Amino acid sequence: MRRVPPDGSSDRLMHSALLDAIRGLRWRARRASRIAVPGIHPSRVRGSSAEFTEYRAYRQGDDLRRIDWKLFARSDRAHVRISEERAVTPTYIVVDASASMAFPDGATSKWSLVQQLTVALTAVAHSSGDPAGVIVAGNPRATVQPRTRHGLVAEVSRMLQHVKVSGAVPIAPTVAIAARAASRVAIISDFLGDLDETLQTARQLIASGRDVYALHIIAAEEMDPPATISVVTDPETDAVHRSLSVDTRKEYTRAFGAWRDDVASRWLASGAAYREIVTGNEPVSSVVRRIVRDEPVASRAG
Amino acid sequence: MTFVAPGFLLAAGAAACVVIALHFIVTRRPRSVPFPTARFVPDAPVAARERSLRLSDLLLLALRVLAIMLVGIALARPVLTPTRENVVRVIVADVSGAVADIAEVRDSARALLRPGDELIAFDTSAWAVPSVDSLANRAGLRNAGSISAGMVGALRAGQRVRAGADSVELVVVSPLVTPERDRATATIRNQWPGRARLVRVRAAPPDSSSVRAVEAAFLDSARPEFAVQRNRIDTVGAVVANGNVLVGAFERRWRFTDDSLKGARVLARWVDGDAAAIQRDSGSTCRKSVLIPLDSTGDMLLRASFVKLRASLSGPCQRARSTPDAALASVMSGGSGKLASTADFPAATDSASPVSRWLIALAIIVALIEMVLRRGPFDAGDRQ
Repeated sequence: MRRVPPDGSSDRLMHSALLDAIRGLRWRARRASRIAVPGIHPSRVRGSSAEFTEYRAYRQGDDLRRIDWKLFARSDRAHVRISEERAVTPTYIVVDASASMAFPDGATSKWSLVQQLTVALTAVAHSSGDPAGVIVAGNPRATVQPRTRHGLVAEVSRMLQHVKVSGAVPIAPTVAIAARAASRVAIISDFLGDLDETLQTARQLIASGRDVYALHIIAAEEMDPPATISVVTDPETDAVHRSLSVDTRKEYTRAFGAWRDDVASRWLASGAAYREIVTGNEPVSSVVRRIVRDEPVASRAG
Repeated sequence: MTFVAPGFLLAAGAAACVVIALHFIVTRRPRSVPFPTARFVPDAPVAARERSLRLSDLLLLALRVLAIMLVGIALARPVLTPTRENVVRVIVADVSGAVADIAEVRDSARALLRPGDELIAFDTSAWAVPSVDSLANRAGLRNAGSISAGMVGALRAGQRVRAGADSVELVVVSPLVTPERDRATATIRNQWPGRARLVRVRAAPPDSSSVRAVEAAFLDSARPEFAVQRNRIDTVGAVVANGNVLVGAFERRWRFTDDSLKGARVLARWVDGDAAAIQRDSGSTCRKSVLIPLDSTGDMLLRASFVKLRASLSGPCQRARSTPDAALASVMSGGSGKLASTADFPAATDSASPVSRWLIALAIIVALIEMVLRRGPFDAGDRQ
């Protein structure tokens, strides 16, 4: 029997090139964290760390050791030093594994991109010192609890390989579960399921101070269906059976584009960080870089 | 090349035509593909009929037709034959004891035999001989001849040669004497679908051994053949043979058993009706037994009636064995007047074609290739 190294190096080999490309990236929180655990993210908790931010007039009850005596000597007034605390941002990545994510077949499927994105974001969060975890919507057994221990990335990669992409599972309940243990929730989905419920849950999370990332996965074949396809069916709904002819292609492109615009605007309006990611458009490392740097989004095509 | 069962070839051709017709008649519904964003496609009727003829379709059609034709050819059992002769001969040669000189039969057969012809020898049974010189192998046995057996051998030979010729000529080389005919001869002769050529050879002379036996019986006091001693020796006054009466005081010491009289021909009777001399046939000869005792003294041997009696008993076997049988010749020369067509001979039911098994194997391979191509690169989608 082959002995598997404890860090699961064989699983890391699958994404080794991607992990090398994103080495050194840090995923900074978009908002100040309310958690007092020391980390890299700005914390709302004011403390006495080395990073000076401001002076405040001494009030009765303040610790005398915090009085800046040099300033007192100069100004003959007592002031205390205020510095910024850094905190961790527990991150949960919610993954959509419904049947629509298996399109198209093979290595260019949306699910393949989801796997790479999830592993990459987990690695970035982990290297930032943040507890990171992954949860597959509708599959409680496919869960990696947020933690910072060594081997997390390999464990996530291994778990995703065994996920069966099928069915039509709502992701809103899973988002709510993830938010209980995380201050940052990344939702990776094609949003062809329960979009309204998911948006509503996301708004609640954002209102409660959490960071929400909506990563909208779209297959290149969905943007421009191949000419060989003439009759299409929805893999999650047998009732949908349509003819994709020359005439209907134009209408499809228009309707799909309108829907994508609507999705983007709604996510952005909710306050979430929204990204539309098309398979095969750009390297996954570039996508991850844009996500974690929270580059300003002027349009949905960020 | 010829086919043992050409009907299968026609059936395969018909099946192939049906497959070709269905290939062009059957319409194909476009392949349905799972597409997650299908909801954004306008809800239009799904009835896009494809009429294009792709190269993959023609290849699949060709493979299907080829597999069907290979199976049909295999079941038709092709036989690779040499150049077909117009007429082939089946020579039936009589080597029984009825033939006077076997060399005459041999010479006649040699003159008629050609490459590709069949030579059948017969006496009590029939068998194929490889060469003319083999005819004399059993001639020394002097067995009885059977035309029926010879005809059966000829019919079998006809089945064997049917594949190599269009017509078969039957040639019978025999003296055609009466003893060679039996009740089945005419029926078996009628099985041969055509005329027969008769080559008459000299019949064997009558067997003289029976004459010498009769001569000796008159004076021999030993027990005659086929006879047993009477319970009571008696005396009878006359004996009749073939209308000749010999009167005298004959002491009867012997009598014929009932078994010896069965199948025997009575040549002479005592005046009380008991058999006094009989003849029993044995192969090409006959054996005579005479119970008429004569006293060597006295003048009976000098009487004219005795001379006539003796002459009638000492003649050749009464059935005239050495005489050609005209009725038999008439039976043998019957037939439709034309040569037998090989098509009239039933094909050997167990004739195997060495090519058939390879054709079946090839058909299976072609069918597998068609299945792999149909399910793989040339996925035809749904058919209706």
